[in-house]
Amino acid sequence: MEATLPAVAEELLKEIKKAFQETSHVPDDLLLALKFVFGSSAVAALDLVDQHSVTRIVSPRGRAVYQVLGSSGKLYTCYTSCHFCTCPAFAFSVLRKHDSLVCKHILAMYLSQATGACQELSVSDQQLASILLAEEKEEGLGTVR
Amino acid sequence: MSAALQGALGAAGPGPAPTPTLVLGPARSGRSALLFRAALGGPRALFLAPRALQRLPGARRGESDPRGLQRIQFLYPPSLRELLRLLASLHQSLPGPPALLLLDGLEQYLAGCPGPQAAARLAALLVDTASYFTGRLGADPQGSAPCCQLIASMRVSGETEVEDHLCILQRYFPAQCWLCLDSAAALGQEDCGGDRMFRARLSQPGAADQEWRLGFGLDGEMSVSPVLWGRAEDPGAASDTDRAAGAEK
Repeated sequence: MEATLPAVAEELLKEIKKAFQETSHVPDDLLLALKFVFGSSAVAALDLVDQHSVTRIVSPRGRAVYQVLGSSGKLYTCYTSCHFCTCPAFAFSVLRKHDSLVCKHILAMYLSQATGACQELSVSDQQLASILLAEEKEEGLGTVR
Repeated sequence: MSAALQGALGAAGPGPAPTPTLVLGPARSGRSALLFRAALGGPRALFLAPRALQRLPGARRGESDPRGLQRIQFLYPPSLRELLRLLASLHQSLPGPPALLLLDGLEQYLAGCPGPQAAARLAALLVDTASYFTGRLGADPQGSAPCCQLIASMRVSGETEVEDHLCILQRYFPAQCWLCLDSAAALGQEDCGGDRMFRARLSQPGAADQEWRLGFGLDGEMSVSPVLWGRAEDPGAASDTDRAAGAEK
């Protein structure tokens, strides 16, 4: 992912990835740091990772996007190259109030990459275009799960 | 900053890694001319705008560079909805990845955005599309460009609601080039050689700002010369002989 997080957050995610690769779990001190940096989104994002809610979707021509199944059962679309999520929290807490770095879905996307918990799905180029647009019918993409 | 935009302004030498760049300025400040000049100066470019340009801002009246034009593909999505659809499906429709993605008239699309999330979606989809093209260029062993640069232009007037989206756009466009009327030149304190003078100031995180002077002659031609801070200016010596007519919406 090319999107930029503050250096401390980038470093933390790297450490989580390293720790997970070596021990298959994330130590408590890193979990505490995660909560310190990302606030209440951290626990919610870890829940999403535990539930394997993050799916990376790719098309034959190599375009990719993420979908995250939210705790409410709704699917949210997150872009791979920059911070954007279709959830209301992203619009409110990240864009409008500036009191969160990212929403829990984008953080779950990062953590899924770090822990290898991300699911993969191939779709057609046309389907991927529809998901990028996050059209209303995306909720009907039951094949993602 | 975008290396393509830097090239269009006549700066030499390698700069920092290209970042998405937003060109901001009032009406008739040369935004389209700068974008078009960037397109002419590089490899393959995709130029998006709400409607066709009435005349080419990269050439003098009656003149054009056919070879340069052949490297530019023009597409005119007329509405926000059409633009979003186009960006989301370019991986299907374009035969090869461009090295430069240009969007002229962003303010016209933002006018159709109902709120900040819609503006963010448009900016994010532009960045995502350029990022996808970068990946494709990297996969092409014969590719001549290392990445696809993104430059968008937006008219600012200080009054419109569209500008409320500016802080959101700055999340996705870390580099900004502001075009402002050169008040000193406008007062006739300098020999401008034309009827309109603008300053172009490029800012991006982690790099020193750079500034250029844009002059528009009576026939609409644009000339560019760097503003050298802290040193005596010699616009004549540094003046770019390449010209671009200042056709501007």
